[in-house]
Amino acid sequence: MNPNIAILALIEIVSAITIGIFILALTYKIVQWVGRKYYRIQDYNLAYSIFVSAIILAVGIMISGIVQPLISSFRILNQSANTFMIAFKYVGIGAVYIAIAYTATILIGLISTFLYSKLTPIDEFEEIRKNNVGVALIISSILITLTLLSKNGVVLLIEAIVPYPELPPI
Amino acid sequence: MINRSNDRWHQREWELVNSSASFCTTYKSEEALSLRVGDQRNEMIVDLDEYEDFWGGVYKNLVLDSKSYIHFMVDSLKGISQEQGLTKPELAELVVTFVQDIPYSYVLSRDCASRDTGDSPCIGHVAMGILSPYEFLHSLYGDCDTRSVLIYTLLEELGFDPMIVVSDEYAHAMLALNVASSGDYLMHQGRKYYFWETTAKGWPLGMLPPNTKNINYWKIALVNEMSM
Repeated sequence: MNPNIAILALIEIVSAITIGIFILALTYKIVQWVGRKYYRIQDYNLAYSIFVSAIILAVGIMISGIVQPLISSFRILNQSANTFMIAFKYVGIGAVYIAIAYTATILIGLISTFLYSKLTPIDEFEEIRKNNVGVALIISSILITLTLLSKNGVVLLIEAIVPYPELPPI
Repeated sequence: MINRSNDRWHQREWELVNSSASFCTTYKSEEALSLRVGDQRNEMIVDLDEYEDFWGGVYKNLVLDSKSYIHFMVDSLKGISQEQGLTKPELAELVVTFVQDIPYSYVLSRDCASRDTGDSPCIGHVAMGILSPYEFLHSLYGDCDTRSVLIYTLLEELGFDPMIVVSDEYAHAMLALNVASSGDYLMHQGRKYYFWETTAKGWPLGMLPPNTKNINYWKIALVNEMSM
């Protein structure tokens, strides 16, 4: 067994699971709260459940993009000797990456639903509140598609702040 | 008559990527031998059209020509490895970090004034813009493919399964190595070859610089097809 690879694998698994659980649970709670407070949508509403699932999936897709930059950051940080500082910096860097990815997902979600609602004569959230599954499916598809399209750009943005070693101007 | 007055002693001290250990090697290089391998390189004929095939042909010739000239470096690295009890991945890292530690220099086929080389040293009017491994060890002038060819030759002699990859789009060459790792890699015959940037210190195995991330732009130039 190669201990270096095993450590990297463990860090990747633990980071993915902890970040995943925390972020997805947080997203679920926020979306449920927004639905209840602003749109009076109940938990058993199928259309809203579809919409919430799409938001969670979109967040998952975007957050999955930070795992590789996070591992790269760890490998670069690992070149310094102080273990405590490595752990401290790793958590800090991870928080920044998550914040960027999460903010990007929220912005994409807001922009996509806003634009779609402007393009159509109906009030989408009113339709979701009335359990219109068709509208929920369309909005969800738009949200996921836009997330997939913009994921590479967001990951590249995060890559730009990974503390890579300097490179000569080749 | 060949002028031997420029024979040189080189001493290099370098650290592994993770700074866990540092090493030192000293070697003598001869001007006459450097000139001779330089003449061999200038007389090389490669008649292939595709970008990666052309460079693969150049690299293959340089590797084959160089093996008998760089045994002193193979022996030195092998000696350090045995003395320190390094594992195989650590031996690969020893070789690559040794070359990464040598500051980057431009090797151009045209005049150095023809491009902006910044603060980096430059050697111009070199056929095909590449130096052979011995010339590199003698002059310490090495750009991306000059470095990759030296490392490829050393690693192959040490029993590894290396690869040289080139990118026309990025105008860059890099080493790739078939060892267990994580990160960015290229598949070849069912085996994973992890990228290894050689032009600067601190780049670990499997980490492509962000401005060269598109793996579709990397093509295999040279790989030992006999390796298992």
